[in-house]
Amino acid sequence: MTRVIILLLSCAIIGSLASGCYSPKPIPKAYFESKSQMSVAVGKCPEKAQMSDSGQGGLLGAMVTAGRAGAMHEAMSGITGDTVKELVRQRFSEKMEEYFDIYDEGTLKTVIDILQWGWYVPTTVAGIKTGSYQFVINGTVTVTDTVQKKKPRIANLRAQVSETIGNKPTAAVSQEALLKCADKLAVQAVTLLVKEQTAEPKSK
Amino acid sequence: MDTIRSSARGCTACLLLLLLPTGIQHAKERDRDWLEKLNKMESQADEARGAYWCGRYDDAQRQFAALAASMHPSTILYLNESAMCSLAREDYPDAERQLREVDRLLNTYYSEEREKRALSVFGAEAEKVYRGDPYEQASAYMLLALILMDRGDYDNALAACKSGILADSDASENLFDSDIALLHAVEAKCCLLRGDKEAFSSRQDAAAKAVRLTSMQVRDGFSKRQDLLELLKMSRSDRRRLGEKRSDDEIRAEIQSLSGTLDQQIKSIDAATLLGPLYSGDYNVLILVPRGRCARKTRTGTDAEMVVFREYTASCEFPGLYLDGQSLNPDGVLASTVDVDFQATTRGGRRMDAILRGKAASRTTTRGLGESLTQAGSNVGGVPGLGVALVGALVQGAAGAMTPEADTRCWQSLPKYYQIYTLRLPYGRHEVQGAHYVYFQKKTEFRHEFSLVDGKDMAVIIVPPPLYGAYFCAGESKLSERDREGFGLASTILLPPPTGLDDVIRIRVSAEGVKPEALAPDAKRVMRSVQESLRANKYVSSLVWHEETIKSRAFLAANHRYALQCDLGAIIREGTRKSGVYRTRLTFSLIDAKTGKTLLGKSVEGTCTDIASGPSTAFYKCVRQATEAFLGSPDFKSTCNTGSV
Repeated sequence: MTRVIILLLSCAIIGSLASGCYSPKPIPKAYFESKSQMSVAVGKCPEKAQMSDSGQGGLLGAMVTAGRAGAMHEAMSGITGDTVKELVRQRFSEKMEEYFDIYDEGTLKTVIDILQWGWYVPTTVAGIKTGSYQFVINGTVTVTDTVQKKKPRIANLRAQVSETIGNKPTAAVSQEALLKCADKLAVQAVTLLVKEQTAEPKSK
Repeated sequence: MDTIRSSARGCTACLLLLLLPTGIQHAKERDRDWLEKLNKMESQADEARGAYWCGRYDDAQRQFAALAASMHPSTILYLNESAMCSLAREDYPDAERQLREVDRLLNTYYSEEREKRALSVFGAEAEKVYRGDPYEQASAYMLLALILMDRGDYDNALAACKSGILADSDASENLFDSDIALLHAVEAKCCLLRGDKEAFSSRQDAAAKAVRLTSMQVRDGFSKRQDLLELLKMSRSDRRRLGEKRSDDEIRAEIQSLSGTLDQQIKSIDAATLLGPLYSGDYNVLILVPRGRCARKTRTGTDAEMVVFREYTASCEFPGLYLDGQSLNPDGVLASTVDVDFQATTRGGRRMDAILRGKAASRTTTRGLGESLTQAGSNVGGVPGLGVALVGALVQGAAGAMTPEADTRCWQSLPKYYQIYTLRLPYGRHEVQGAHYVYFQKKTEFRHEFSLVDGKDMAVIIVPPPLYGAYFCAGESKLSERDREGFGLASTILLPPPTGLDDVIRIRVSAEGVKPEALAPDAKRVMRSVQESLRANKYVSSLVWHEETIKSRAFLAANHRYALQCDLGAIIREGTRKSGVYRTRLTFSLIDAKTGKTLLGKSVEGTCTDIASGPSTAFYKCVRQATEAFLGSPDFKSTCNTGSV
């Protein structure tokens, strides 16, 4: 019994340390000075938009939210993981171009993993909706130095963005929210990644 | 007896609990029906707007006319937009008919019942009958006044000007009586043509005042003063939320000091010189050149309850304009006379916005109360706790049922601003002609003939709008040395951004049961793909970005002989995942950079059977294939050989 308790406690401590120690790691200053070239790619990305809620409604709430998802999918008909991947890549590259030359291949390799994209609906007991729908994208950005053999990962961060789309979002509103979220994600990620750069961005 | 009373109380409570959600549900269903209809119409209108901004005026007008054919809350909006199509087609009588209808509706069709519903807490603002913001109403009257003036109906033109001024004069704090200088100037001209010199003088002064108040030098100061005046009206809690610590006296002192500086700046503006003939009334021809595209409304805020204007920042070419064969110089024109974007974005403190702020606050309060109840119920536990928690959830649901989303319907076929030419021409027949360019290519030509008979005759020419919808790229993008290879050499082919793209393009799926797909095209990647193909075929080419092409078209054309433009037609997916194919149709045009003439235009299709890789990969493969096919065609080779690229 004591062993089980110790094992559980150790797991809890390791878990809390692992989850609690996250902080974004920007690109080291040396890379800006050496004017490295960068490639940008999107790795993982769910194929379909996902619906999530506040999670307070229990099983009933989950069922109600799943029911709402059908109508929301109709509002986004045609937009798949492929579309989102391409949009996020483009917007990130546009923003990053101010600091690095972006090519298909480069010394620095940026991989954006989109963990979730879709809608969030604030709910309470029994899945009752308490606010407007939001469009959300969250993911991670990892920058690696392809030349370095040891510890190639030089920067990483998590980013989460959302955009309110109202109570009865249409296809046009949802699409606009997707574009805004892709922009926000790019701005958020690039701002954090270039934090250590002190010099002015290269002129266009 | 007590038992009966408590049972009755219980029954009433249960009944209320049952009726409250039912009432909400009923209100929601009615709202949903209306909103669905309005949203569907707006989606159709967006298609029509797309056609309008690409120069397909007949197609756009057909769609707008169908939307405006019946009476509904958005009729006025679609009549306005249909009138713009008529103007672009130079059908002034039809535009007049529609704008007169707008005037009639603005004065008579006003459903108080709908207005009340929008003012109530339940009900979407979008249900409100569209009457347009002051700048939209003023624009409608301004266009009507100009058409009437062209027809020689100066009495009615004067009336239309007065209606426009009245519609525009309800700005917050009444800072601007009406700040659209052209309305005052046209009113003054009408007075002059009617022989009323006294009225002409007073309207002349009003036009000068409008120019002073809207000049670039004072815009920031005015905006700041409006912010401060708005701050004075706010409650202390609202100010605290904004992080504002200044007292009323401090704010008043700042307003006073700002007003002093503004007064001095205003006095120094020589409005009469800036207005030129518009001030003196010494003109008999007025040419309006629409530039850019007016900002549109979008929602913002935690509950999408606020309206913000989103500007279209990409610039567009000035049309080549000729009067009786002589080029009209775009310099020396007072562009700020009708700055639609400025008029649209400087309407602080609109009545509807204030109501929306109230609704959003009400929703937050209700939601907070519900959350507290649910929390309390969970803490108490047991059956009573469950009851309280459920009541809390219902209250939160009621908060969610309120619909504070802002109405984003707006007149989207207005330009960003109008450039104005005022001319005095001799009597007789005259002709204004010109052409709209899309990058290097001359796309549409227009011609307007008019005659001036006597001293009281006036001609008003409204030039068709630029083909703004063809452009996709905004701002500048960084191009590498490889992208600019051969730039400056006469033989280098210039590659401007592709046209006909959009942020997201829906792919037409022809097979049944296949899910729809969409694509987010990358303009630079398309340009690089075309350049790669040119390179493989031993042609030197250089990429040129949007702003550079717009600003320096003449310079680029002087140094390079050819430009190759690519326009996206359609993307279709046929068949299934196993045996399907993507088809992309592109139109390539080899342009003589100096004249804008299309030397060779060809529509080519690229295909890709790699369905599994997804639409994006397939699209770029199709682009590459189509480019290769175009470059390999004997026509291209012979045109290039003749022209020795």
